Amino acid sequence: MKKNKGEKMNTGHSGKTINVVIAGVGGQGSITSGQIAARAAMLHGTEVAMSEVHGMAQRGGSVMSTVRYGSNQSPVIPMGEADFLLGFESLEALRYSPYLRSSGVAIVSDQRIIPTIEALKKATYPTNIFAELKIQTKSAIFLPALEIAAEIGNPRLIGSVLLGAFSAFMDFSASIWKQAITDIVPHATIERNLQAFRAGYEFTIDADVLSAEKPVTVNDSVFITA
Amino acid sequence: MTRKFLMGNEAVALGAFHARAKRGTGYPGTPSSEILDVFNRLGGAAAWAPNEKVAAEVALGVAFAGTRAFVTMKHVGLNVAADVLFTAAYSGVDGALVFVVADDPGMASSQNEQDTARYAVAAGVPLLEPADSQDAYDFTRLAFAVSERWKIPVLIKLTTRVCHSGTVVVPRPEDAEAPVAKFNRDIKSHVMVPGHARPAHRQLRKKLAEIAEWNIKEGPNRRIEGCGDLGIITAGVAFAHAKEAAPDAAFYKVGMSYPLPMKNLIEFCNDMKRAVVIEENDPCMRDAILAAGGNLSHVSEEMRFGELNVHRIRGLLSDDTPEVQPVPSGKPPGLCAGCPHDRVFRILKQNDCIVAGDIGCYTLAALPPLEAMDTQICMGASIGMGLGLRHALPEKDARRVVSVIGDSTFVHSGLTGLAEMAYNVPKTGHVLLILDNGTTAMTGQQEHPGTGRTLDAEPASQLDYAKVAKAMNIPNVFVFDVVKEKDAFEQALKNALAKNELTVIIARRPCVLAAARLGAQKKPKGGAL
Repeated sequence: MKKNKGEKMNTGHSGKTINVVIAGVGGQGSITSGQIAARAAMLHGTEVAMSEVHGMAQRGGSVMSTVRYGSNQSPVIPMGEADFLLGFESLEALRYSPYLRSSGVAIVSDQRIIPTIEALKKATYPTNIFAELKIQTKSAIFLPALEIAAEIGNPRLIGSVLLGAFSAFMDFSASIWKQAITDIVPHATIERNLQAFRAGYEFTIDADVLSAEKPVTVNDSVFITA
Repeated sequence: MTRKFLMGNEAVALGAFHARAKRGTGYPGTPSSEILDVFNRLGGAAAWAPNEKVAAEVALGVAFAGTRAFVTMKHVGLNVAADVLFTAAYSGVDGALVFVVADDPGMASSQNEQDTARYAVAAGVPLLEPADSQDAYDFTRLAFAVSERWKIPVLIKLTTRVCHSGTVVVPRPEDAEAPVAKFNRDIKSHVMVPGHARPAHRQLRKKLAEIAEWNIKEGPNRRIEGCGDLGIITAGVAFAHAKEAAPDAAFYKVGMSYPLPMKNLIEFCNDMKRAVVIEENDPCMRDAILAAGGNLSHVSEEMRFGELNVHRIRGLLSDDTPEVQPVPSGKPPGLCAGCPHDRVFRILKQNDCIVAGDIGCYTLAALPPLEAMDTQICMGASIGMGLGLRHALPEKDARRVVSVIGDSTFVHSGLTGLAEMAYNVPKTGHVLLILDNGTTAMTGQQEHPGTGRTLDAEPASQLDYAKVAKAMNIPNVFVFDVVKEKDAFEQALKNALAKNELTVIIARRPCVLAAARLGAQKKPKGGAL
């Protein structure tokens, strides 16, 4: 298992498509993270397509964006074909988990944003999201992204924390990610975003991935180099 | 030139900039709203108009002056600008005029999923349908060229998925300078009275026949051979989905879908054991090909509902098995924390009002938790529909009716409604609330004639709604800050509902999001994408 940590998803010239679904709530910055993930591919020389659905999103609704690496056609990821799910919020991750393949990896912030409809007691926020996610995929990483982001200085850095965690699975170099972040985020926030990115990366690398007791698991199959 | 990663809307803006468009106009509407802002950032002259009709008229004026213009809007915006389009097709243009219209199949953020392709056929103007950002760039360049060559307005139909998807674009060198604007007195072409319009209509059909010939020979269409029995005719982003759903099929990717390259399409159908049309929204190409005698296989009527994707197309191609589409339903949007609209609607609910609503963030008041809006159809409808309800309902209920409209929507389509209110007064009078949050909030906080700033944040004249109402002889006109003067606002509303008179209340409080944005610095101009 340990040996797999060094192996990364090859986005280079294998012709393989890597599909990433990014799910969040309006205002969390999930679209910006998608832009960074796409920018990284451009810098790496990989074909990439990104798609986002917004509009009413700024008003706190669900926001889903997708990034597809490789020579695919449609900008939209078919249901059940995502290799990664980046969840900015636990329930949103669960909502979009049907997009994951059974071999896919969910990287999820453990933050919970209670929707108005639950506040009205017309619906219930699920309590066992981790267990439910595990039905969709064998590999799920829950990380305290909000806590990490707040420690660095701004809750809005969760996107970079999640991207850092995601980067541990990808073969883009650190300098490419750094450039992509620098190109996209507001100038004044570059340093803190880079810090958040590193924290997310280190969390994934340091996580005790062999422990079945904790909500941090990684499945062998996702580390196959194409 | 260097490769760029661009969203479809950015690609259109860059295409227009490289085509040396002299002016871009429009009215914000998801998913089209980013185009003008990007065009402005590139250094182009861009401005928001009060509505799409005015925007199209300004652009047509630029094109009559012999140079290049474009106008952007969402699909329902073309309903407002259609009056311009239909007769501009007859008059033609001296320079170039491009309508960039963004459809919203699946209605991510719209009240219907009407198909702009129908307008191209109805008005008689060429239609281009980009599939990705490269197409969006190329077709924008081409649209200006076709418009200028045949002196005809050209329509580009985008869709949400093209506008808001990013792919790599390889730009081409910019055009040489656009033609210099000059006044050309040509009353026969520019004044569409019946005597001029009759020959203009014949001229339009002649142009379209020529364009159809050109489209067959050198149009932006692509035939891709496959290795099976199946041939797929498609356009727009449906091509991308279909190519992934059926990688072995042969394809005819239509770039200009009106007038269709019919000869090529019939040939393609004849060469295939089984030919189908995969298109989003209405079956426009299918019907035209069938009418021309093309041999097409049946595809389920399901295709016209919502956005297509790889999964759905796989289902449609595997012979009409009922589609299972377990797309998760998202968390519903709601008004932001601290939104001033929230207070207004709470008060309306407490007072048991019947609310004729309108289009903007405040439409969210129709959803839980507020559920305090009773109608919403189109831009500006709150006033006319509220008046209709007042005319028809028994007095007790008529008194409860309030029309509620946002500031940008009021400028867009409410002024004429207010004139109607002043002119044909219901027996119980009427109450209009203008929710003035100082921005076009829903589409991303664009400026409008009531904000006092232009598209690029320069100071501008600011429409005074209270003065407008007074000028239209509304006897009772009030302005309240709905946070600081909540009680006074509620009292004024109660008084107005009790009277048989007309009242306009301007509920003023800046949008919480726009307030933050205005604190930030202006975006630099002339930036690279």
